[in-house]
Amino acid sequence: MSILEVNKLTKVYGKDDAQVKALDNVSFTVEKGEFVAIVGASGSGKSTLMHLIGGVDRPTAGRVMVDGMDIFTQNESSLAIFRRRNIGLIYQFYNLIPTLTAEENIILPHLLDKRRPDPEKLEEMLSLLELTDRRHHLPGQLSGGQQQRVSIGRALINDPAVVLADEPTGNLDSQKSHNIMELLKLFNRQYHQTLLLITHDEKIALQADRILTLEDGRIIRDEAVRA
Amino acid sequence: MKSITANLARSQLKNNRKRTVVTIIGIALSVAMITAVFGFSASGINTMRNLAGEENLSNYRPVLVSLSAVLGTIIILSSIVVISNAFRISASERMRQFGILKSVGATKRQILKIVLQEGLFLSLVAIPAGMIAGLLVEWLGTSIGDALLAPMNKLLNTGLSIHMQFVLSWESLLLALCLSFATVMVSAYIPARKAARIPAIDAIRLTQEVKPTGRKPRAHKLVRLLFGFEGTLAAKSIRRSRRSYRAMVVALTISVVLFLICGSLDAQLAMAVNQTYANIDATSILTFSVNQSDSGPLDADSMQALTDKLKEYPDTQLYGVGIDGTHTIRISETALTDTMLSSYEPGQTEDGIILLAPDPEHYAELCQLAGVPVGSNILLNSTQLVINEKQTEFQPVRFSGQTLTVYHNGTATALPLDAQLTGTQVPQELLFVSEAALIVVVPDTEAYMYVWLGNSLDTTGFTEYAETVMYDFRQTYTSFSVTDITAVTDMTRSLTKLITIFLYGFVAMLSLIGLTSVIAAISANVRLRAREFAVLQSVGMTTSGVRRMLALESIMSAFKALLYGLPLGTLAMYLTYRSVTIKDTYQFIYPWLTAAEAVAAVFLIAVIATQYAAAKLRKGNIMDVIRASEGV
Repeated sequence: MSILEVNKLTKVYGKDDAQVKALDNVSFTVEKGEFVAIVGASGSGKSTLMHLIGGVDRPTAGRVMVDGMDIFTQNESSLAIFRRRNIGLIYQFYNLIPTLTAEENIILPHLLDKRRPDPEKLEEMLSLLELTDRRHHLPGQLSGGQQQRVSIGRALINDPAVVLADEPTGNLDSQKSHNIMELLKLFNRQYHQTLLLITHDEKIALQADRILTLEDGRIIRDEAVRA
Repeated sequence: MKSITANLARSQLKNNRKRTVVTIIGIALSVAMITAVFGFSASGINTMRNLAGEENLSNYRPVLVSLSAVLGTIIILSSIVVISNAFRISASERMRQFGILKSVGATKRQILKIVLQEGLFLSLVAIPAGMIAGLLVEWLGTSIGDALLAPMNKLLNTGLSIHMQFVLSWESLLLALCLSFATVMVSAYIPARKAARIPAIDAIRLTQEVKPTGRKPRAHKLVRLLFGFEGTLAAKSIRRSRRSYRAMVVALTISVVLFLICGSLDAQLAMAVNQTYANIDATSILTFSVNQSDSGPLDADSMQALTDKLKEYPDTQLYGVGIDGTHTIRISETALTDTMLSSYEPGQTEDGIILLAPDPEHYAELCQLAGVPVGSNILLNSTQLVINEKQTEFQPVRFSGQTLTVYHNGTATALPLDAQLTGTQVPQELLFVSEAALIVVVPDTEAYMYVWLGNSLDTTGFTEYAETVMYDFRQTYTSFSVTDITAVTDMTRSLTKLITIFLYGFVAMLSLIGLTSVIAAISANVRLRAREFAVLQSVGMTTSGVRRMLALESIMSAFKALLYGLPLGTLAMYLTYRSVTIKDTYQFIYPWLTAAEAVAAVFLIAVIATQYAAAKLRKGNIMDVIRASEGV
């Protein structure tokens, strides 16, 4: 069974004359442990696709199955709980809670569940992210790269079924960008973490197993990357 | 383990310490007012219980309870507007945060909980503080009230004294606690529900608050002409963020309305006090009367003896006058002036006429003034009426030296008028003792009542002396009274002062709440709009230009508050005048001074707010601000 199944997904914004079809009948599947890059020009529907898979937006038509579960059949509260346990989101602008420390930001999905993560696992995560000595800092006291590492930690702490990353390196210089990509690949290879990455950077896309190309809300290419 | 929602709520409060403090003050003031109102109500009920007895309490309780219900409702409603605004600002600042939380799986309930918990934390500090302050206000109020009531108790001298007591009523404290808590929670719930409802994706993009409503914010051409480009921007941003300014406008409007009502009530009370003993230069009023249905007139000789006896008290002058109100007259239209006819229609029935017999000394003065020999009848041709809402003094009778026909128990008597006195010639003492339009001084009239206006250096001593003297002169069917005017005026003044203090205290507290809301709104505005200001500066607007824009925003809001507040206040003032005063007793005077004070106070608040905003404008690198607001 595929970990992610996107079926005839359509999203229309606006009404009547001002209608924009952001996604048009998009279908594809992703297997567990796959690293898929989604590329396309701006306005091609990349972010819309990611928001729909992430369950933060609702489609006009179509289905998204995550780990065998049709996510849009759930009501808002249970979708929120599903999201916190099964989906990890990484944004271009980190989107951390400024009043919480790095560690608290990372374990936020657990905190919302009123659970504590396994301490060993947290230590492992912090050391992988190279944030062990920064764990009690607030986001404002961290560099851009560190902040992005925190947001990666937040996305991964729950071993989600799917991690969605929207231009995770878009706001970083090339050195930091390289580090972040290495980190994401590490999680993908070592922990078989399914990863969907949105980018317009071809070099980054080429590091994935497979590239989906979007244009005007449709998939125009779906090809495996030769290693 | 602490819950994450509580943690987030607390960190928001800690992070915006200043706003937290302002919000706490706002809540505490509201709570203080609610507590004080209920406290005064409890104290009032207690006073009534002591005064009227337990069995009569049911007559008074509804009045006090409904009065405090009305005041309480005003306070609670304006508190909700103001406090809710503080929570709305706090929530809209974190809209993006809520979006992030939602995207990592926070439910609606959890978002709602964060904002409500913020309210809970604030309540924990603000409500006890407010209740203590409220009890303090009650204690202070009842102490002042009791002190002011003291002269009245002394005066009434009936063994029945009125006391205001500080009452610690657990019922009213509990009620205040519940209502205060409900007020805070409702205030927090309104914006919390809205924040929780916004879809995660909109919250992250931060599109909700600035979403165009389809209506383009437009500024009037006049604004541009008067205030330039900054004015246009100011007007537009007020229109765009109507809600931020609504709390400020509502709070200021309510303050203006209440201030005007207070000013008007105050003026009316002062007028009532002055009216009663307006032009009388006297410290005591003494009366000695006989019931005319049971007995004949008072004996003139013994009255003369009484007058002489009263005069024996050192440093005391007396103006005595005998009053005979037992005669009637059929007056014809031709005998009256046009002014009199305009407000009076001579009917078929008989009208009253008052005959006065002043003491010989003062009678002689009157004769001299009128230029007639002693023994003459003198018409006092002066009266006052409210005509066209204006107190007017005029001559009621067309005097021609005529002879009037007066009736006493059906017998007609001729009353020749030898002379008249008009306007200021008529002694105020004589106008004071009789309120009729027709008054004639007749030296040998048979009086049923004697009145003395006394002027003594030692009023208290004279009052006691007069009481003993009159007691000795009393006969069957007679009654007498001695009134110490100084004490009465003192008492009325004290009561007026008491009421004024309470009214203005109430207004002052409401205005304070208004001011906290203004400051909260402005500081949040400056923070939320840092990026907008930075963009404006990056395209070349100077810092003073931005300041000017902010100043104009405050001033325009103040103007708006006055635009609503002044007409509403005037209407309310007129309504209280109508309901409080007996019709036509005294005219409605627009308290221009109060209105001017209100205008000045509102603009002062606007200026303070602007200064505050200007101080808040950080002088940072423009691009840093633009970049910073894109990130976290």
